[in-house]
Amino acid sequence: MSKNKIIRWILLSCMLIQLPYALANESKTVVIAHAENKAEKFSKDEIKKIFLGKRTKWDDDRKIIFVTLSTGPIHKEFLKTYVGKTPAQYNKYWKKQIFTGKGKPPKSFKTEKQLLDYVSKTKGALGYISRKTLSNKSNKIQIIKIEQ
Amino acid sequence: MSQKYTGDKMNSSQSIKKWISCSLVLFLLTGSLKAVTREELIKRVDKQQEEIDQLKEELSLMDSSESDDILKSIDIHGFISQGYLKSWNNNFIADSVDGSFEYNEIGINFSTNLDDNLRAGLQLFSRDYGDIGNNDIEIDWAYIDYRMEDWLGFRAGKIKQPKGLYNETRDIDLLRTSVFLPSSLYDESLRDLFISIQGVGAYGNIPLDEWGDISYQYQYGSNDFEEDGGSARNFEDSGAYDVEDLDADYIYVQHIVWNTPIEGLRFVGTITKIQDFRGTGSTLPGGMIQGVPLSGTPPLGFGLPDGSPFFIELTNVTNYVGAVEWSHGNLVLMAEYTEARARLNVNDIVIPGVIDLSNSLFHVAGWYAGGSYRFNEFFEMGAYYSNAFNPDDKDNLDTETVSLAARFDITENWIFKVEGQWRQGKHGMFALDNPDGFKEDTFLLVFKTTVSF
Repeated sequence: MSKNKIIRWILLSCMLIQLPYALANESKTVVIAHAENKAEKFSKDEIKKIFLGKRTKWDDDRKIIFVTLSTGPIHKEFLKTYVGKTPAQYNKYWKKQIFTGKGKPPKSFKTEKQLLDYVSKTKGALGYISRKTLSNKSNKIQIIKIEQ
Repeated sequence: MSQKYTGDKMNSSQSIKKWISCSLVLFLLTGSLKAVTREELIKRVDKQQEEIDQLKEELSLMDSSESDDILKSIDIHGFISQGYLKSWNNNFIADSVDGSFEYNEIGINFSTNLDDNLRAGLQLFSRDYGDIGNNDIEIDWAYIDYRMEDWLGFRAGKIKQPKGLYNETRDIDLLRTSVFLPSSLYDESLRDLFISIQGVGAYGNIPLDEWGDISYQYQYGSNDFEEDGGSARNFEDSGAYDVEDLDADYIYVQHIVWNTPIEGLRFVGTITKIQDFRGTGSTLPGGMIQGVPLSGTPPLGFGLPDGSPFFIELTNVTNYVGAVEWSHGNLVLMAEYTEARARLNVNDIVIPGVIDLSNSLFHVAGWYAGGSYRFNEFFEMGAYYSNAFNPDDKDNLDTETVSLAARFDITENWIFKVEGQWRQGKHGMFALDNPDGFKEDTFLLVFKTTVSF
């Protein structure tokens, strides 16, 4: 076997080894918004601020109506990846806002389909679903690109 | 016959024409249908759906008046807690040596968004904390909140006072692991002094890009103090006089939270200034200050007959708090330090060369460090060490507390807690509850359950 062939085999093997990790690292969650909202991308920090009620408006001054799932692995992954909290900590955060009068918790949905439906019908809405559910998306939805 | 034949012929010719016309129409129709793309059809359906939604919205507006809509948008939340206290050696807030249920908290709040920027709400609160509160209903907070921008908002009314990490949420048992917050920072007997402010405030969140962000609150106002509240009881604890009125000229709060770029790490700083916090009342029979009888003739006493007007005043009270919290997954670690200074004036009492109580230094400090860990959705544990002391006289007020607590989330809205505390020193306890004097150590066991909605 020539030297080049050996190098090719090594490179290919490395790529094959890396593939499952690359797939695993790709987030299963996508952030979606109503198609008419004026934003195509947010930073991770901006998403965190929105879901903690610290940023409240889109660039066109319209109110951000952010919505969540009430439970499940996608909810857990989203909170961990973007908000840096566990579901229990996130609930506590909003209970703190409720009982000090500082805010109202986001509307939450039991299923991704319900959330998708709501976001597609509500101007100003922002939420998250799994990539799998996204395949049913209507043209009333836009995917928000998240910059790290 | 011929006519009939002709007629039949005509009929059949008309039938053929009809068939041809129908076929043509069907053909054209089919053609036109084929010409409409799937996307166009979806667009039409969406447009019609939008029109239906708009009509529904208009219909709902016609069905209900504006006031109905506001009523519908009012959110109602609440909590009910009941505790049981059992202590050994000293009574902690109630007759806890014998076991006591005199420890509960009840709150209900109503709030609504009047528009995208304007919000209003109020919370009614009632508590029983030994001889404090006795389940009288009070307005805990009630304010209007105008959020002009995310970095600048205004509040007016009765607003929760921030102080350190947890002061705003100290009554909300469901937000923490332990039953009691460390008394070196959150002395329950002084809750009414630090819980809320009646006045105005500004707040906001300022992004610092790669440095995280800063949340701030400034508040200015005063507060109402109950004669049977904790602060009055602190003034009365010497047994020398009865407080009939309690007030402060103004309270000013500056509170800053730096949410660092390190995930879950935040630093908090609070400065609270209280001007002329004054309790007025009258002397009690047998009342003594520092072992000197109030009613005695000078120099053996202060020359104040029973029932004489009396006051205690803390001027220029300044309280500083510095805190840090780090939250990583299910682990939360925290530490806080506080120091308070004021000038103390006890009824302008001066006996030259013997005693001067008209202008002494009041100086206390405290700190704690602790943490909590959530093992699963059902179970969480927490512990802390707390120390309250007088920086100028360590022997007089040096109290150590070690706490270990377990929390069980039975359902999302129902929790149960158990906490054990060992306390050395008398800080956070009243001499009035321990008329035979304090023993050095106190062991305390607390059970508490809370339901929220």
